[in-house]
Amino acid sequence: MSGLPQLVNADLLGALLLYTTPILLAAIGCVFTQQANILNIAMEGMMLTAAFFAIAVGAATQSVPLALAGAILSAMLMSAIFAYVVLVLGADVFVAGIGINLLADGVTVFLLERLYKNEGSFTPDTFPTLWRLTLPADWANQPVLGLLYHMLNGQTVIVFTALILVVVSHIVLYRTKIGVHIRATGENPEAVEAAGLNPTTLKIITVMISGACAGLGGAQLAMATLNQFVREMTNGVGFIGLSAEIFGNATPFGTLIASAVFGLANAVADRVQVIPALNVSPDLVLMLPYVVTLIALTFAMIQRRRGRIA
Amino acid sequence: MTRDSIPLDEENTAARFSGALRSVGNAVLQPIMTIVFALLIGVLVVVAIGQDPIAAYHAFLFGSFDNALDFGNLLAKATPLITTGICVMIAFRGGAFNIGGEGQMYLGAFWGAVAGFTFVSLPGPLLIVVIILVAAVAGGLWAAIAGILKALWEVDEVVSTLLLNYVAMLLTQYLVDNQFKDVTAGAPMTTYVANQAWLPQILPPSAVTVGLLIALAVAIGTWFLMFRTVWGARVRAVGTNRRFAQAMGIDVRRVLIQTMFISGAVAGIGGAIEVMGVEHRFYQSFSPGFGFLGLTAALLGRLNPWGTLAMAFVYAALLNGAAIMQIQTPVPNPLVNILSGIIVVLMTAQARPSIARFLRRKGAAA
Repeated sequence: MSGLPQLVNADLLGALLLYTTPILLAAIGCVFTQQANILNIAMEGMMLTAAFFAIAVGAATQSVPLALAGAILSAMLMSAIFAYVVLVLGADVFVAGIGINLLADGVTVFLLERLYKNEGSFTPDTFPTLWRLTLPADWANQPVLGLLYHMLNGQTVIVFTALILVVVSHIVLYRTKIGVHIRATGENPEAVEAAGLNPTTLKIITVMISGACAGLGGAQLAMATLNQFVREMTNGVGFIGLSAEIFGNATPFGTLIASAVFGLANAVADRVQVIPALNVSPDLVLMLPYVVTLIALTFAMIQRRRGRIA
Repeated sequence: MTRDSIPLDEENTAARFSGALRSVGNAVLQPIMTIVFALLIGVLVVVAIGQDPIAAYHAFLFGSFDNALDFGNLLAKATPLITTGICVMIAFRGGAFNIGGEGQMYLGAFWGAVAGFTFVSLPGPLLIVVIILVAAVAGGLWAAIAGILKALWEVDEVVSTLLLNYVAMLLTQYLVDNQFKDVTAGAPMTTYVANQAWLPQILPPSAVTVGLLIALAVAIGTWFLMFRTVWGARVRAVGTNRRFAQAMGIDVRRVLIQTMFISGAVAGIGGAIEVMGVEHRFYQSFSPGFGFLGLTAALLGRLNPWGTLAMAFVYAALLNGAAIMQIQTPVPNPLVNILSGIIVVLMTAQARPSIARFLRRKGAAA
């Protein structure tokens, strides 16, 4: 394994954060919906919509706050449609979720072609730079600070927001009244109703929260490195986030770890391609987290059955 | 578990018959209303971008039927939707939601292609049968994993088939990047399958091949299996009420795994048809999401084999019409993606009560 030092170094940590962030944001959104017992298949489409509007609004206004607002609001609009159709009109959650993903693909590609005359991608000539952390350059070669420098320098504000959101969602879910209500909605909606609350309203709130998270995640995908929208650029990140949330057992900190596992696989897969000495296939590296999630999920179900029988 | 075991209540036969008629009416009416609603929204979109909706919709709805070439292309587009749609239908009838058709199709296409360039000495028809069988087994075994996980430990098949989709696609990408790569080709793809396995076109110069007939045969075979055999009756019993099926002495777990196998096998056959009919080799990303498109067709067809078949053609007509519309008018082709999104979002919504309410209100006003 002569290429190992080339792979495992401070730069890997930076790539890990970069890849983990959109997955983590998707996963946090799915934590809220899962706690209210909704499998959030629509996350992928919400993120894709957000990525498009981040670039479209940012290019039109040259403003970072407006680009972020465009991303978050467009994703929340998608989540509102999803919530309305599923929770008010009583549509099947899987079918409607797949529909949202198809709709997001349709809307973004239609606008891509209509507004920018391009079927595949849109790269604005000028685009405002998303707020980033800048560390002193002379940290780069120092022992401990160097590690921090390579990990954090140039990371966007969304990266740090996502990490803070993990703590915030833990507090919201386990230390506030609304969190108790949300979790009760998933476990025992009749009891929630008996307590004089409306489980449907609580579910709608969780779907809207997941839309906001999707908005941030989509913005990070579009604005973290290239300021570009590419057709179907989410490429499964929403589903990966859903998988990470399932792997993390729908808890914020469990989900953080699971997202990091998926992020690490992506970071490693990205880098092994340019290190021929390692002779590792990026496809197999990318495959691992899915297999691990499936196995973890199976073990969780076996445990649950044992618990029920005992 | 034959139809004879269901007691016949003479008195209620007429009532049941009219009830059945009504449910057929609803089954036909609701998807059509959803499609019409989506098409109306499409008119608004076309008007909003300042184009002529009549010209656009003429091309969109009727363009596929103008000439043999366009009609043949419609049939070619319907072919993979039939198999992926039937795949979803089978699993659903057995009480499982298989959204892994895409991955099962990838594995079927890949191993079918491998069989196609390995057994080159076999004569044409035999080789085609071998390719189809290999693809069916590959897709079937992949889906059976989700079936086993659900049968033994109640692992949610929506999640497991979704995860297995990614594993399958990364697996074929790995194989086609490495051991099975055609080194003379620029992109990651296998070598061509033997010439005698190339499915002939049936309406040249359009893209439709004998593969359409194979897909139709699979659909008819599936209908027979599901609705005219004891095995099919068991599957449907499990799908309707698992506990009741268990009480009837059906081995529910075994039936569930078998159902998933058959479901995946059909998706795998769809992959093989694409390989033999279109590119004559496997290449990664040969499918623009046929799995989800077929799922849409199956749901629009109310998970009935004939409905699924019909909706595969309707859906293909929309896809093909959109491509023609893009050529003939300035309306972009992705309009159809927006429309199919709207259709799927609303498909299972309970619109009927509100429509009934609307009609009542209208009646009161008059």
